[in-house]
Amino acid sequence: MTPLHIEAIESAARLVAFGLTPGLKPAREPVYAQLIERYRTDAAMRQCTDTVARGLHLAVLGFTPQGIVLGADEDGPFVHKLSDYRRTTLSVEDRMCHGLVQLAIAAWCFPTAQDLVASDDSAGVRFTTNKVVGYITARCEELQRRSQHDPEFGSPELREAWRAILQRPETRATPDGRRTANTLFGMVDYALEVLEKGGLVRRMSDDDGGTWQALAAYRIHVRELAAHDAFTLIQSARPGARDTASQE
Amino acid sequence: MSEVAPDNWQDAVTRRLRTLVRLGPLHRIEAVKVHRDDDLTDIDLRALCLRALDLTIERMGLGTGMTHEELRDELVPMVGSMRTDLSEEERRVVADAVILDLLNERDRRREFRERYVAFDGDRVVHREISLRLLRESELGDGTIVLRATTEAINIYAGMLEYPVEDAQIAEEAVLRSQIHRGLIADAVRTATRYRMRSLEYEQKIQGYLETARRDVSQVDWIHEVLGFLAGARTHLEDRQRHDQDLLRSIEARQDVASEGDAAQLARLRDTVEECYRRHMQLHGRIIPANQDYLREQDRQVFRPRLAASYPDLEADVLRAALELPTGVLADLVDSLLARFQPPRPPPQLRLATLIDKLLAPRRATEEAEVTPDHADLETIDTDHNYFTADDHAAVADLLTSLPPGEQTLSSWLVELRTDGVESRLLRLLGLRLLIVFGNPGEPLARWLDVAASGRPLIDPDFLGDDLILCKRQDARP
Repeated sequence: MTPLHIEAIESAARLVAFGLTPGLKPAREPVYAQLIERYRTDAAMRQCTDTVARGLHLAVLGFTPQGIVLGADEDGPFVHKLSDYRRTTLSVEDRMCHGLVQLAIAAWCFPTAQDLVASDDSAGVRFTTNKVVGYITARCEELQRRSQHDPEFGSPELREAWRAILQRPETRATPDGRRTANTLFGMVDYALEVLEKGGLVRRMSDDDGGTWQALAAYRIHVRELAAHDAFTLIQSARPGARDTASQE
Repeated sequence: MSEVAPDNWQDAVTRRLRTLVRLGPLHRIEAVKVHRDDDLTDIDLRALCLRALDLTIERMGLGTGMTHEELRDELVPMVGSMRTDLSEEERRVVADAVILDLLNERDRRREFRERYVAFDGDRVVHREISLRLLRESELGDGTIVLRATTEAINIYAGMLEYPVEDAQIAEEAVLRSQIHRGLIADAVRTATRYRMRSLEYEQKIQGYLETARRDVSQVDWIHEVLGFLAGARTHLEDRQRHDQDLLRSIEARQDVASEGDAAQLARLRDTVEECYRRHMQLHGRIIPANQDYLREQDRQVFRPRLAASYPDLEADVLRAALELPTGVLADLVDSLLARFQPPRPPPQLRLATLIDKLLAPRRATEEAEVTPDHADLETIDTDHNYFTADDHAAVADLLTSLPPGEQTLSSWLVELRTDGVESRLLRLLGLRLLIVFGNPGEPLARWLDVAASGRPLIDPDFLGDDLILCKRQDARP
């Protein structure tokens, strides 16, 4: 094993700590900028940082001019679980929608593989909360047009996700004008707020229900951590795939 | 500069066609303006696009770049000169639209794609060129600046289909000749193009290094990139040597220049110096590129992912997810949140803060001064309840009339409304049912079960979750 200097371990841990504080920018924090440069050019520092991150159930996904990009392991203390994300009791349809909203925002920003490989300092697309909600419902309506059979009135859990979404009121305003959290709009807005806190998107204005811009860190996060895993998760959950798995 | 002589007419046509189609995005932006909500008559969007590229390239040369808002503000006067009747706000909207069109925001910033026909011998083949014109680049302080892409610089410089290296050499030769012949005004113009070429070359090198750094498996380092880097090193060393020659020639001219020429020579010198610095910095990036690559290879070889192929999130993932049963997708929510949301540092309880808060002296309140004597209040015997005793009796009758078995609140409300039951009674009924739902000890709960259905209540007067009502068979109200 390569002997590691204590200073390198401390520096690596500091760099990870900077990564967990997305409000900090290397341009305003010289130590952060120096550590990123060391990570980029010093193999021992890079190995040490990757190891410290792994020990904390994190992964260094990459870096942009605005800082290091970290991802959390599903079993670690830094992961976003639904119970922390939304503390209220949720119906099965609400849980489905919260998961789907994560996919939909990423798919809106980076629809194809080509969009994921743009340069790591390139900011992404600008969009509004309403646009993402419209995008989800438009995809559901597309599936409705293609659907050949009548809806099955069985248990709500067995109904396809797109049918469940089309039967939801898209936005239900509260008497005082606020948006309710359990509408599709509320869920998209909330997901974007959490992404903003994590430094993956930025809020540009309140126009059209909130205008946002995807940042390079979001592209790196989706490309390095989410895209492939989400594909595997969804494909293996399809009825055909599950039947095959159970036969095996 | 003359065109490279083509081998045959097929090559010549294909090359000229490629040149032509690269201007496609600009022509399309102008052509589709009639479909916009705003009236853009007399506004030439192509001219605004070219000016936007010009301003962006100009500012890139200074090393910082230009933000979206700065570029918009620069374009506003040009919009105003095309249409004097537009308000300041309307001019800003047009300028904004031009920038967003150059970013291809309408198509979520994907590359512009232009199809064309090429000739492979006598055979016709359909090909496609993908290009970007502007992109937004993030800086370390959080600002986002616009940058023109290699293709945009190429379009702007009007020298399509020539490798940037050749174009640089050609511009430099022209520049040297002009300085030598004392054509200083011409030399200043050529220097601007030379500078544009150096920016284009910088973009090309950076793009190459970026691809290699991000995913080593995407590039053939040994056969392709090492050759490219060796070529780049030689090219940059030549450029630096020639830049120094140019600077010496300019200095020699400055010594004997007239007052009018001196200012232009100073400008010329600044431009060439800027190019020299850029070539030197790029050379500095090329030298350690091989080491960088080896480090990345070490790092990426252990990465547990398929580096070469990413899925199409829209077609392969989102659409498939929408077709999953609701329950199956709901079970994946934790996994999806883990992948798509950033790490969340657990909230920390600071013991010291908690103890301080608990031990803090109670804040002085106004309570002590409140007199318990309510002499100015009078007791009113009149009952001001909104619902009358008759309403309560009517609702009790409705509850009694509920048939045994399960029924949803929404369907019952529809029935009652059809029977002409007043809306105030429906409100009271709703409140009674909510009381039962929230208080299992309520007398009514002995014979009526009220449970949440998990679905929203679709009703013109009520908002909330639908309820399932179940009156027991043996119930005696």
